[in-house]
Amino acid sequence: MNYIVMETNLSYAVVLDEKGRFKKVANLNYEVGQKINDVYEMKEIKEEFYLSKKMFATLATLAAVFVFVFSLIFDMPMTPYASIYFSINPEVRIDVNKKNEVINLKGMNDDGKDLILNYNYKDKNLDKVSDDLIDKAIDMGYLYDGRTISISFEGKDSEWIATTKNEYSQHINNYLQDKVSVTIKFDDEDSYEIIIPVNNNQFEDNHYGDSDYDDSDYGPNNDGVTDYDDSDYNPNSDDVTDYSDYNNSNNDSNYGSDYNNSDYDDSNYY
Amino acid sequence: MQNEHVIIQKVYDSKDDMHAADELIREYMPFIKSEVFKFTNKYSEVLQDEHSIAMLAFHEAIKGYSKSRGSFLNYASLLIKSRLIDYQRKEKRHYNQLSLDETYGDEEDTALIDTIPADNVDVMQEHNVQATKEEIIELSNQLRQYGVSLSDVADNSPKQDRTLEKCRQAINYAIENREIIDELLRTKKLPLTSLVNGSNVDRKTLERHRKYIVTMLLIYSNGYEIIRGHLSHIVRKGGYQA
Repeated sequence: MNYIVMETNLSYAVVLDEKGRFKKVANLNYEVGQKINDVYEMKEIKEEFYLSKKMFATLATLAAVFVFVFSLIFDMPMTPYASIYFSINPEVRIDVNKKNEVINLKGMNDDGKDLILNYNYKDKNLDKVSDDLIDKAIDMGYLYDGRTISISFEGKDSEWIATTKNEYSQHINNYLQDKVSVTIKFDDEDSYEIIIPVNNNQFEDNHYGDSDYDDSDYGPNNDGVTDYDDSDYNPNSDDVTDYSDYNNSNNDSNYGSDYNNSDYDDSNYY
Repeated sequence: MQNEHVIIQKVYDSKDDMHAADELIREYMPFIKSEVFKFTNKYSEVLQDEHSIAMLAFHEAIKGYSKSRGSFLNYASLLIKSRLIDYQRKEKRHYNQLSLDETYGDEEDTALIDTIPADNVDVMQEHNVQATKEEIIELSNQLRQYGVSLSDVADNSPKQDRTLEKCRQAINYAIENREIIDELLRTKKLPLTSLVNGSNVDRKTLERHRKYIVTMLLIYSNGYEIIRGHLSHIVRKGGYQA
């Protein structure tokens, strides 16, 4: 590249290159009008963004405050606030944050790993995950009548744990009510047992049909409400004789006689 | 400390005033010389090029200095050193070449250049330089009427090829439509609007390089044969139809 020297100054010269660019270059004793083919160009120093110590300190403080405020607002959602060990035989650990959102799920033994396989806990809360796990456990044959679910809480905030545990046990009770009868055991300092549930009487009758207890239960009912009930339960309470009574009563189509005949209840009851 | 304040004030005053900058450089010449000596262990009288580089670096330091960079003289010293390193690297490519100023043989007073037989070529060159110089002086006189110096043009000259191409496009349009150059000569103002409309170049680009474009248009208005000749072969490639 050739240059014409256009202007000379003490510390630099202005040259014009063949492409029509004017440049400031080192003035190596040039003379105006001289043609040269090599120049040492002046570099343009850009004002760089420069952090003084003071500014750095200010920025660092701001950043720290920001992080602090941020953590207050969002309560560090990815940090486990407490863990719930949920154990049938498959044992799993459910890590939750303060808002009860599940942030991690871990199988504590092989069955536990099996149970949570392909299960996505993301964006679900503790109740939902527990429900799902119970359903899964029932489906996979881990949970059935008579089993025990042990639940233990682990965390630093004992107040939070007490509240959550209370709500959690109620939720689990409600959820299991229609499904299976199991024992729920909270094993920590005040381990208490909740036995679930014995309140679905229809099933109970079928199992324990012959016992006196049933009679005593139903005796008062017989007195209180409709005759249909009586006709249903009398045969259960007594083996053979009632049948005839029942038939008789049907034949006679006389309900009054039924009342009279149902002496057995009374006699059993007292 | 007081001294430092004075220097910084002078530096800031010299940033956009090249005469003040030269004045400051003259004032700090001993400093510049000592920096060169520290770097090369030779006196800068012997190393004229290094001395020039150091002055250029000092000038860069004036332009690039800001208070956040600390003491001005430390900053200048740093820049001088790094520019001298750059320069030495560059010169290494010519390591095996002799300088014409080098002494020749045993005779201490005879420089190599003196042994080359003087012939007509030298005279022709000298003549050319003189003619070019006259053209350039005329151009800078004309530029003064527009309130522009060649140093300003150098600061204003497009640096990126893309911008250069855009400016060329506008200049080309003005050359094809002489009335724009005529208007410039008559009013001493660049007719930006007609230039923008005619050449389809961004107004911002032209505004930013106004001084440069004015200079180029003056060069192409009339005369300045030697300068035009220097630019000519690029001009044809770039699409100029002078």
